[in-house]
Amino acid sequence: MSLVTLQLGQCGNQIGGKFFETLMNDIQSPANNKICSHQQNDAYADCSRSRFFSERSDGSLEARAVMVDMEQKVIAQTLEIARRSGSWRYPAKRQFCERRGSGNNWAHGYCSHGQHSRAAILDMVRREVERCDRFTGFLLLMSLAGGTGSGVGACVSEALREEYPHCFMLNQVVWPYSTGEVIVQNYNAVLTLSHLYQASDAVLSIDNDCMHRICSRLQGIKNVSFSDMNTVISHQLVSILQPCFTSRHDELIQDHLGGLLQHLVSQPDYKLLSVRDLPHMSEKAKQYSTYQWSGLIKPLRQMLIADSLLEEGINWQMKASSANLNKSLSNLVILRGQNLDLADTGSFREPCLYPSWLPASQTFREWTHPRCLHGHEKYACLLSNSQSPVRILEPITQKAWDMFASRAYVHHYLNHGLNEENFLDSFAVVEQVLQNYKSL
Amino acid sequence: MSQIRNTIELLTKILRENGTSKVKAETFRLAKFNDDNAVAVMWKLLFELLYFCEYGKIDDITIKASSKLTREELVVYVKTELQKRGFFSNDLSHPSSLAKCGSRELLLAFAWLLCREDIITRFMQKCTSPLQEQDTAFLYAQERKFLASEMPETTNPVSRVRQLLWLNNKLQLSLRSLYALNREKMSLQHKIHGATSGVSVVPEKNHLSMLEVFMLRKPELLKKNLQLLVKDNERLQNLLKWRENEDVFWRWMESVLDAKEQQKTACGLQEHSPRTNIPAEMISRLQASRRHLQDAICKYEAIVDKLDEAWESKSSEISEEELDTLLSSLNLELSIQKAHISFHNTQSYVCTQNDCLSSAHCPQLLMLQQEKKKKKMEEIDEAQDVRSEIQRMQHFVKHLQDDVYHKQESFKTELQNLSSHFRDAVCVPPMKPLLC
Repeated sequence: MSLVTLQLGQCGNQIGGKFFETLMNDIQSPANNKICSHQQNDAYADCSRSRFFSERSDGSLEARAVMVDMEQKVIAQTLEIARRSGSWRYPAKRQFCERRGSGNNWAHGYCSHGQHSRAAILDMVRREVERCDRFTGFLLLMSLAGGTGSGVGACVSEALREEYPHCFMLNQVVWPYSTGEVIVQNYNAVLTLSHLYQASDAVLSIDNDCMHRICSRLQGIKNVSFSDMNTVISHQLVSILQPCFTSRHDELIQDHLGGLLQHLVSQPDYKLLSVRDLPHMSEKAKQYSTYQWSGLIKPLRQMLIADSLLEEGINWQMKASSANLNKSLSNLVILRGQNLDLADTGSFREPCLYPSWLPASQTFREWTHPRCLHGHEKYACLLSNSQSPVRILEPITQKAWDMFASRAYVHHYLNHGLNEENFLDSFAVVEQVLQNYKSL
Repeated sequence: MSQIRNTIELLTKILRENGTSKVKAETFRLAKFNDDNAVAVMWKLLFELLYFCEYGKIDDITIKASSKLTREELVVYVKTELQKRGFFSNDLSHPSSLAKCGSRELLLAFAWLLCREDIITRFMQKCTSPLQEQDTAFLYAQERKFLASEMPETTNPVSRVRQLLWLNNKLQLSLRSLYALNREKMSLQHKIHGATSGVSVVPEKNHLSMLEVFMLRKPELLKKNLQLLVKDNERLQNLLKWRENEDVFWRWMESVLDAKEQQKTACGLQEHSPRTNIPAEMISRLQASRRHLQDAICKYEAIVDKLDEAWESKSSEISEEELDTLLSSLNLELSIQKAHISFHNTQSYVCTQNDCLSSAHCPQLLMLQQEKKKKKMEEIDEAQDVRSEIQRMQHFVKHLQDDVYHKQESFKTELQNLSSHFRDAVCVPPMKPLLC
């Protein structure tokens, strides 16, 4: 089943470019026939190709993607990188650009650019959807801090929900640095999240701070660039969205996104997803490293209950019986690599990790594939709907509220057609989300 | 004699093919002579057929239920179901003959059910060729994993609401998934039909079906499907044969009925009315009403026949226009008569109900009639109220008109007096009086 990706704003386009590049590398990487049979490998590659790419009559692959940015620069760069790879490219006439950016103003993106460009973007999306034999949903890549990604992204998400009420929609959003890149990033984040919460099926949040620490501490990169961080993000996305089996010797899951969302976001009040993956290491260290499944699953579980997104500095004192445990609504572990029979994920099924009102059999799923990913012989990824995002969301909401109380920078938003009522509504939605997660 | 044996054997074969437990033709013979050895088998057969009538199939649940139920429970179920469907037999309906009912009576019940519910036709309708299945989904059928009983019990209303929300959203997402899968299925099916265009097994189609393509790719399944087809063919053959020979069976059933009558006369037994849950007094009243109805039917039958004849003769004579005018005048007359009758009935009904009500035996009926009476009385009271109200209003209107007239006159004279005080003024009265 095919997914159409929408790359929104600078961040979304850069992540999208990396994402498709990683996907293509994974599809083209030689499979180890001892652990993954020829048949399994071919089925995996075919499934992945038809999910993210469309094949042209000349045999070349085109990403099923629509690129949206208000400035041409980033889209041109991303197109160039894809063209240079030679193995895939973006489809022509699926790029939407304007002359001026949104200036980090959510209202400018949502009320001005969003409303003006809505019809043109929807037309591009429709053309891309019509090229899919088996369309299942959208993956939207965007940031929360800027103006285009957040503002136009929220507007496009709402338009897509209206136009395609039966499809699945996953929004991947990048939280800004807590130290702050943009002064109004907290306003933008609150406004975007409140709109996405109503339009989207799930919001996969990725934290810039966390990505930076992974690059600097675990991968040993001295001067961390956005490109490095985007590589980590795209690795995580690929590990989540590449084909897998529901159990160890089954058929490939056809409706991957549907199955994922059905399991993780069955409760409409809880839509925030977080992702943790292991292992992380520099490219040089990969060939000298070997892992046991228990060596990945145990820290992954501890990262979950101690609410840590990094393997480093986990609080090992935290027990499943602790009061301040990071509670989850549902978890999905995706294991990729050899000796899957030895992997025991039973510790994720403990009822104390989940609310008592949920049926025990519906809280945890394990998906697997014997194919190695990103050069790791074993790779584990945990996608969870837990209290983790509260840790990021709460200070952002607080800062935004403090600024709003003194009406700081609010006039910039009011000039573009937003009013104070809209702000208050957004605060109410986000506060409700926080309250729901806290009461888990 | 051998012909009837063959027919009954055919019937037992058809029954067996459609899922009932095994019955021998010998059992039917024994049942004709009221042999006790046939009783248990016949009760079970009746139970299975009643289940079939209710749910349209005889499956594992039927077999499990018939083995789990005690003999008494099974008998009570069968008796109630038969009575519900209209089979009133003295032996079957009496509770004191619980499970002691003779096998002949059960055989009669079986034949009645077979005829009344048209079971053989329903068996025929169930026969479908496996090749006509458009869907290969049955090849991948999986057991449903999540059961509602897995939901944890909770008394907290907040948790309960969350549970329900969770279930609701899960259902919605599953529906969306189903929608996407259905679209995919359609798309793939279209591809198959397009790719096999021009090749066909069935003359009505121009392409191969999904199952046919599936079998072409997996030839080992051909054998299995061939077996299914052979079996299906056999079932259809048996059913056809039954249609040809069923009159033999029904003639034999007549002899069973005769045997019952003979036994009755030999034992000097009288025909009792079947036992029902209605009080005895009501039954006598019902019977009286029935007789009355029969008499009425006999009385009016001749008139209806005459009318029919008149209709036939008139319809050939009268043109369409004449018929239309006649019909409209007839309708008018009918509605007048209806209104007349309903008015009279309301009054006479109240009187007759007052006279006739003697319902000490059935309090429920009494209550209903009282309510009805009360309602009717209220309707009549309302009607009287409206008439008096109209009279009152007419008086009031007349009074008001008089009042207006007097006032008009008095104001006119007052105006004339006033106008005499002004020298150059001319007083013009209105062209028409405001109210006349």
